[in-house]
Amino acid sequence: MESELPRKSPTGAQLGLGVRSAALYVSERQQSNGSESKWLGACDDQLAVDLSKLCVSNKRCIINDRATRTPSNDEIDDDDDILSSDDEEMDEEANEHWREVLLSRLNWDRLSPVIPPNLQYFKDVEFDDEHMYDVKQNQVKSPLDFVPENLISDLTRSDLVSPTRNKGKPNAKGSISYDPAVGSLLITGAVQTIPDLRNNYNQHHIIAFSCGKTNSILKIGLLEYTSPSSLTEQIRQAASIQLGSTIKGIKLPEYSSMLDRRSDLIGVMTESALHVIKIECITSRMEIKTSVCEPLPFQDFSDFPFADFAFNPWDLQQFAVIDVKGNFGIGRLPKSFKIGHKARILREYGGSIFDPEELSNWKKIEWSSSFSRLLVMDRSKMIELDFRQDWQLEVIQSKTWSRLLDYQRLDDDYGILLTSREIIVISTKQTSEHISREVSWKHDLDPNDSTLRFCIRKVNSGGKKLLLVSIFSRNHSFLYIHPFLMNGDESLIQSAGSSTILQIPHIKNGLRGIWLHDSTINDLNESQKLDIFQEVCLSLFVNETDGGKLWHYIISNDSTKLENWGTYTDASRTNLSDVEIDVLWPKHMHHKLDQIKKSITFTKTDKEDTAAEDKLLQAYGYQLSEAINELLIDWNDPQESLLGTQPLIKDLVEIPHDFNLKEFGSMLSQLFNHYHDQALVFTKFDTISSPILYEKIEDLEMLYNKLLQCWDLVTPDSEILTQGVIKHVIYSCLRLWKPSLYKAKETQIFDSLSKPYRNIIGMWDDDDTDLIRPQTDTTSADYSGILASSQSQIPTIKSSQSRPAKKHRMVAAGLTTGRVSKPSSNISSLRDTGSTFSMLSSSQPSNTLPDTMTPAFTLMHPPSASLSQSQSSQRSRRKKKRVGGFG
Amino acid sequence: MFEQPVALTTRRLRNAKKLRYQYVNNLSAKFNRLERITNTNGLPTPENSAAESSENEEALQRKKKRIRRRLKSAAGESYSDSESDEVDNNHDNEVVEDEEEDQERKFLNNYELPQESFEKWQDDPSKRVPIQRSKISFTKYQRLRRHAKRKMNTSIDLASKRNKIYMDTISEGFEMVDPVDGKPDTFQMKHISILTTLLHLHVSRREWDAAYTCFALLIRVPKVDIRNIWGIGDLILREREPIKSLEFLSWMSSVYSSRSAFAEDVNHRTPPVFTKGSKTHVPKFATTWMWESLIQCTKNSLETGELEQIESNDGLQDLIERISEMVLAPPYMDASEVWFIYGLCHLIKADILSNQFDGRLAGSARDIASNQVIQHIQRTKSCLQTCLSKGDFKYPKRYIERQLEEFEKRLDRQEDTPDDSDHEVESLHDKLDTQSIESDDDSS
Repeated sequence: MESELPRKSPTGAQLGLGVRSAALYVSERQQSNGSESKWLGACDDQLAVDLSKLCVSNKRCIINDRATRTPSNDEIDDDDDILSSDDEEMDEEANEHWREVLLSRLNWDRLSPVIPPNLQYFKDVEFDDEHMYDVKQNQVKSPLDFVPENLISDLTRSDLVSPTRNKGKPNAKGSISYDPAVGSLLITGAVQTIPDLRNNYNQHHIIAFSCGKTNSILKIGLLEYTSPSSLTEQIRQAASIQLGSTIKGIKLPEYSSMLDRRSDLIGVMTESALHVIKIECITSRMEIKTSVCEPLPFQDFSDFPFADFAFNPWDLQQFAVIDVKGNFGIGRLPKSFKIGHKARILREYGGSIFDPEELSNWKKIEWSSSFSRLLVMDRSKMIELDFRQDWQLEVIQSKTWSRLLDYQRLDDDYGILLTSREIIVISTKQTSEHISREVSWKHDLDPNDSTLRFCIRKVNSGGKKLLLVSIFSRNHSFLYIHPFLMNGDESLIQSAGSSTILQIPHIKNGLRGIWLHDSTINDLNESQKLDIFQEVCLSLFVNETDGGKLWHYIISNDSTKLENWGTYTDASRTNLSDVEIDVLWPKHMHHKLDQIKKSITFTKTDKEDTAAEDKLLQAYGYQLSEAINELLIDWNDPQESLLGTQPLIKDLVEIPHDFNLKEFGSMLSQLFNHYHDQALVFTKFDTISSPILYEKIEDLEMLYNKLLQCWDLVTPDSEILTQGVIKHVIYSCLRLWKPSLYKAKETQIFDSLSKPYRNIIGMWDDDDTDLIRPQTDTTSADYSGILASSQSQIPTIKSSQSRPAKKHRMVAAGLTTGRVSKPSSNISSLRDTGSTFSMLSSSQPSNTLPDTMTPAFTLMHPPSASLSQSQSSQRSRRKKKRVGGFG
Repeated sequence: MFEQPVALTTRRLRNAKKLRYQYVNNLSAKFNRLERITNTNGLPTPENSAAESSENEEALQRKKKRIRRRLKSAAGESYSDSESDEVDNNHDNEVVEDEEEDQERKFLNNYELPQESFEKWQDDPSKRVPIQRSKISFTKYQRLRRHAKRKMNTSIDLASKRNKIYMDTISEGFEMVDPVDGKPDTFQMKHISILTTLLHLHVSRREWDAAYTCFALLIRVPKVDIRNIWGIGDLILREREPIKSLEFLSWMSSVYSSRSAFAEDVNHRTPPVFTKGSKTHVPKFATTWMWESLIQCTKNSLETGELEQIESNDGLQDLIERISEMVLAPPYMDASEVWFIYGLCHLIKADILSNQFDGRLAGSARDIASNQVIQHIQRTKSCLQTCLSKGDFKYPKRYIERQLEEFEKRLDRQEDTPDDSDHEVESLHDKLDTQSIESDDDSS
């Protein structure tokens, strides 16, 4: 008792920013070394660990599968539009604004085609009701024996469902309510299997997390150092276990220090049952072998689903559970995890803390100071009870100023309680009669935020133990870390300095769960422990609020470490298919970027040299025409295969690195004209432009200018970029072919066919409409309607009538109001020519149809060998080819 | 993300609160009725008697409150203005909110409003009761719920859409992700929330100048109560100019200390733990001020050498005098912590004086000097005695006693020999952490 600091008895030391609490004057302390003050208080600023240097790595690794998950079941999607945040609207507004600006500047239609609301992309497909085709779901529906009332009320009272919901706009904030009974779904910890214990092996560090579409799959991975030089552990292997119901909490038993061993169990609480998984062994090839105890359904215990559970630190087989309304009980695990062995509830030790005034489902149960003492809590009270001696005491009543938010047992002597106002270190020493407050820290976080939770990590820091309490919330992506300091034998606990706030990069919508992992504390021997002085490097596992992705960051106060930390290399995930390198910046992307940069800079430097450019272009043109001439000769040979009939221009002659676009355009047009006489056809520019700009532009320079205006808003290097883009587009799309050649080929192939096939083709070629009619007559009216509508609708996307009208309006608006700002006279004049040109082009009836549309079944080339295919597939095939460039 | 230094009230929140309390009160009323029905049938169990006793207490409390209210009205509502702002009464729509007040007060009347901490902590083993064995069943709970919902059908129907969702959520046992709705409803609130966030961020990054600017701006915003953020302000000042910090705290404790009783029958917007004082609760800024000045005094006395000893001693003397005045009246009179500080003041004084004690002195001068020390030691003892008598303060008693003995021994010493100070430090460690030596052995 002598070691105690002065304190008020029920409250302990109450600290906060700038708040002093009782301290002890130590007269003998030497002031000379400067660091030691004469005061020994609950808050020791002198020993403060400078957490302000802590940083979160900017890099991160994804841990779980990328499969998008539906919002997990713990969140009820009551109404997702009420809380749609300002930012989102802002974003949308900004987008809309820019789009308007773009449109007004370019005299364009809307960038995206206007899709009629009744357009159907696919035919209605009738699914067969045959059970053979049923999708096999490997997840059992949770056997809730009552329908949640909110579901019924939601269905009956439709006014709860906001009308805006139908827009299908995803809510940026996620859902507005959540199930507080959902605990941490991502944990790491040390396990010692029985073979490990026998062979005196070291403990293994594992990570366990939930994943899957319904969050019902438990994955267990091994955390390990691949090499001594690596800073943090990597995840090696995973065992996955189907639990058949949404996982609500994962826990590893922490045994008392008296037992001096680690557990080999993982407890998993699901919506419907409590599962206990035993890790049988971890083989030398790092495979995890598990056995699962028969689940304990909540119906065996009470009428309500489980809210929390805990393992007895002193008794390997005992556990405690509590349900969402406060009924608690003690249970025993079976000795062996064989089929038929089941955990059972000990009826003699049950009880309830039900409080009609407490509505929240959040309940927590944890062992207190001895093997028969429990701490049971809900949001407004904490009860300590001894189930053997049959007494309970309401140690904390928080009906007024604060609410209990989270509690975690630290070790046999301490636990940490988070309330909406404070972080409280609670002493659960066996010597004291009841739990007591040691030190509290007023965290100043929003007291209305009930989603605050925390995780604790003990870090060795120069012979002392640093306790990092990191608080996180679903509402934001900040970590609030407060340090506590324990002296070597854990008899004295102090608040060490002030807290720090870290922002976790890339995460916008808040943190569902985090877990700090520090394997150094166990893996290093004593001498090394002294070396890690004031240096912290922790793994941070983060579970995002939405999207359900798990991320791995590191936290360190050493910036070089953060820099050096590499995301997982490929070698480390050979066996774990769903460990992926951060998708944001794949490695090859950098390479590509470099390439692009290089090409840009190259163009930039040589730009002045126009004369040389012209020469180059001339040479290129010459070479090109020569190559085409050769090609024409080749084509005269009838044995040439079909493959060579549509060469890309870039395949003919090596392209010069840079060019003057204007010259190049004129050269190309000259080339086209020249070979037009020889019945050669080149891909037209409008075919190239329409997939990019949804508009047909027949002039290369027009295309360039329009693209330039798009890029102009984005980057100052727009000219070069656009040139590069144009060049690449042209080289990859521009083909040439000779239509007459196909005729010859067609007849050739036709002749080679046997008679029945010839008949079919002949019939088809003559009157294709007749072939379709009988079909439509026989099929249902729906089908014909769809067919008719699809035929009539697709042209309206780019109908010739609408465009000039719109353009007219735009131009008129620009003229009358002067609103259209013209970036340069050059461009505007170009635009004028462009508009007149498009007017002209729109007047030609042949151009009114989009390029993707075949004008009703004119067979351009004979069908290839696959004649047995149905007509529809042939049609689609032809359509595809048209996209390829049969302008 | 941070707590704002103003009481957040919007109509929506107020209505939501009202609905919640109404629902909760309905639930518990029905539950109590159900329990009583079963109780009359069953045998008297310890739980029942415990419940009864609590009811008696409740009745007693209610009576007390009634008396207090009557006294209050007799005194013509003479509540000090420092508390009027705490009271949640909006005069313009008092009639409308009458019911709400009732519901919240009805709920809170059953509970003690703690002043010392945010929660009521209990560690008295005599309050133990047997474990409540009867479990709540689904049917019973549904019965409660149905009843409670039925009773407040109209108020739910009248509630806004958002509050309906809120009610649906909480009655299902779920919680709202963001109960406040995230968005401040006025520009002023927006301003305050941004400033608060900036303030905390700057403090966490130790950028004191920027933090100071934020603090200075924030306290000038109307509605912002400096009592909610005095701690941060003190910290910033302490880092910038320690003297100002003491002045600030002393100003706080002279302006905002209150000697009136804590009103339990009003709805407080902010918890009094860190922000307020009352007849029975010494405000935290006052104790912080005392500790801070005491620590400052010892620092000064050690930093400034022997020459300025007198001056710095004066600081300590001033403090002793101020505290001696303060402990004459409540709340300081009954505060064990203040008495402990008072005791420590004398202890430090004795330490300084005994250190200064010149062994070569003789005769009356020696007697005067030693008497001074002994006097302070005596006073320390008596202060600590008073502190202990309050019964809610713990301190390492034997350690302080040994320190006092040490001071006394110094008087007998002929020549000041600092050689045993090392030994003292060790003995301190010995006493403070009894197991540290063992652990040291382990590591070596």
